[in-house]
Amino acid sequence: MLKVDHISKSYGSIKAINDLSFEVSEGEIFGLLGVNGAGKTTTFRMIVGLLEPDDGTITLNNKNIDYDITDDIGFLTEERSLFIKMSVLEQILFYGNLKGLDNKEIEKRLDYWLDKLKITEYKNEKIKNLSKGNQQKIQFIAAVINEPKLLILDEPFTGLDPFNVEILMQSLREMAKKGTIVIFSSHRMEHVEMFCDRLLILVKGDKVLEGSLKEIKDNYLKKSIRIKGEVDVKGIKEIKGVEKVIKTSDDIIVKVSNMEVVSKVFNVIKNGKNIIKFEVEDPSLNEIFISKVGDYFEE
Amino acid sequence: MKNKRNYIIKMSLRKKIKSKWFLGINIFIFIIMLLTININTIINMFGGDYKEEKVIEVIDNIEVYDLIKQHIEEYSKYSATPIKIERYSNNEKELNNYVKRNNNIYGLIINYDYENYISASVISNDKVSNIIMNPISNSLNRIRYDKAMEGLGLSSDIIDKLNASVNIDNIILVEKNNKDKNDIQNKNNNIVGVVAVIVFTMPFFFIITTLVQMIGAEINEEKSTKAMEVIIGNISPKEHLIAKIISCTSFTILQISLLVIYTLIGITIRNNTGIQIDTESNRMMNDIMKSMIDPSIVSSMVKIIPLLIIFLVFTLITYAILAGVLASMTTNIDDFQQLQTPIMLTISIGFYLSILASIFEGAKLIKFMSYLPLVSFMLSPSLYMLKQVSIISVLVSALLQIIFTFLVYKYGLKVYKVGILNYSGDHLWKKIFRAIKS
Repeated sequence: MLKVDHISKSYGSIKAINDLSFEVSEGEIFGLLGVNGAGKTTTFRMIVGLLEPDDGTITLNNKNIDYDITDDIGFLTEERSLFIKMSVLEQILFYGNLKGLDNKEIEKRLDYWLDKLKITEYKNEKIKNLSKGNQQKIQFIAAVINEPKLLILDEPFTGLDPFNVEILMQSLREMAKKGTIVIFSSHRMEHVEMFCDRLLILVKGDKVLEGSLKEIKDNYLKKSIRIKGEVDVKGIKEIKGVEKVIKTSDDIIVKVSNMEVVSKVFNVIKNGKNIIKFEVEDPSLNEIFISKVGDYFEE
Repeated sequence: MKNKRNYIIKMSLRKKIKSKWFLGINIFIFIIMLLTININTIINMFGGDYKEEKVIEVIDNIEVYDLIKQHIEEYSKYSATPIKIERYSNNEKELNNYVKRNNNIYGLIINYDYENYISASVISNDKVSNIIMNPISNSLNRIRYDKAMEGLGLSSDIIDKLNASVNIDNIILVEKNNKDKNDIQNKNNNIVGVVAVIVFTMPFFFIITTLVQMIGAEINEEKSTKAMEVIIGNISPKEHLIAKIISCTSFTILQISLLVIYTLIGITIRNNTGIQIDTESNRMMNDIMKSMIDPSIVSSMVKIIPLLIIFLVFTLITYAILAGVLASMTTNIDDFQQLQTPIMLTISIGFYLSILASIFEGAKLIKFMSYLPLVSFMLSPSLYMLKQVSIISVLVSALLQIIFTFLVYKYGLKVYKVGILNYSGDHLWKKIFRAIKS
């Protein structure tokens, strides 16, 4: 288990992380979300041991993060951390050796991953000749070549098309099933929704939300009602608790502040004509994210 | 961790040595050095006008033919162009016609001059080159001097004695200094001192300059690709810096060794081709080389070899740490090139002061500077070689350098740990001082 316990980090007068705590169990996929400058990369750097927290502790299976256990950690950085003049094989051998593996074992694992990610033909190709997406795959292989117990992925899906995103997600799910702790960050909320078991939202170094996706959505009171038909839009807008009415080409979307408002809306639209859809939807993670971040800044 | 450090050293060295540039550049350097060292032989192979024999036909009106023949032939031994002297038995008009028919023939008419003892005319088809004019001029000047002395009634024995150098004996009153009576200083040969110092310091200057640039470039490459985050995630900054110092220093020493080998091969070829021209410049070089292996210089250097090794090792480490630390604080190679300027200037100061030391003998400022770390490694042994400081002074300088190295390592490592993952140029110096204070 990874345990992040009340960590703080400042750069001069700027508080990058403020009393952050969370735990991630074996086999769990955990999302760390936040706008730019929220403290995600600083948190990752502290987890992999690149930075020391000013306060608090980070442990992996009850051991402090230091160079004795870094061989059990895989780290994919946000920006490309590849030597573009090296071939794929040379690059992976380099990072594999830094993880204490021998060349034979590294090459065996590399062959497995190249096959899995469908890029076997690039084994001896110079990295500079690869597309951005394929470079990202190589970076991913470099992060998982040591079969880590803890895998940190900072924006892992950058530059990948939906097909390759799915391949990568599938691979990560398989690793998680085998017990790997996966922590990742992404700006793409649909990736987070599809992929993570639990998540945490950071704003300016503060934790503003944590929980499973279901818990977060259940606890988020605001709902959306999708309606198709001829209805009294003016009447809906006058209902107390209706925050917004959006007309799209097909539907009318009514944003309400809580579930109690739904029945009031229903009472208005039941007098409408040709009603063929009345659907109450959970908010999207994107909506929750924007709402939480917005609330924080308003405070 | 040690294995990982060794792996980084191995990879860093392999990357440099296996590169096609390393092979290409070394082949290029090897060829250029062979050509330069054997340039005389090569020029000789292609031949040219200079190989054609020049004949000076002399009409001697003052009975100095034998003397001038002797002087010019002696002089021409050191010229690439063979010069032959012949007495011309016909008159001036016929000499003019004879010269007109052949460009390699010159006429020389020597007459008595009431005011200047000797006057002469050189007859040629074109402006006379220095190859012909210099030996004629030097020989006539010498003959005129001798003739003037003879005119004063002095015998040739007396004239020879007047031409010889005055024998100056150095009476040294302090007994302990008496043993060095015949050393380089007492030979009063400033050029030898300057050349000896240049030959001694130049390799160090070259090694350190290369080392600083290499470490900076390597660290910058790793930083700019963000590979540094993955590397430092697996090996501590301390081990990483040590690995860079060892690999870059080893490579620099390898490159210097190769240069020495190329030079030796070039000299061997030169000595065995048998086509050598004993020119004035060659003679000068030989004199300098002989003085470089002067027993007094060699014996004084042998005494401080252990100190020199300590000096070199610790100074290399210090410069390498400084280069690594500066590179760690920068985010691209352009920034590093700007920041390395002070390092380069410091190396240059040591180099130039070492050369100036042989000119400004006993200068207090230079002696003081010889104790300053970073400069002392070139300056202190140079002053010792020139007998301006004692071995104790060199020892003190070495100790100061060692202490300085440990301080640079202690505080430099703190900065390196912070800098290696720093990607912003904002508040750079603030970050450095904060790291040092921590």
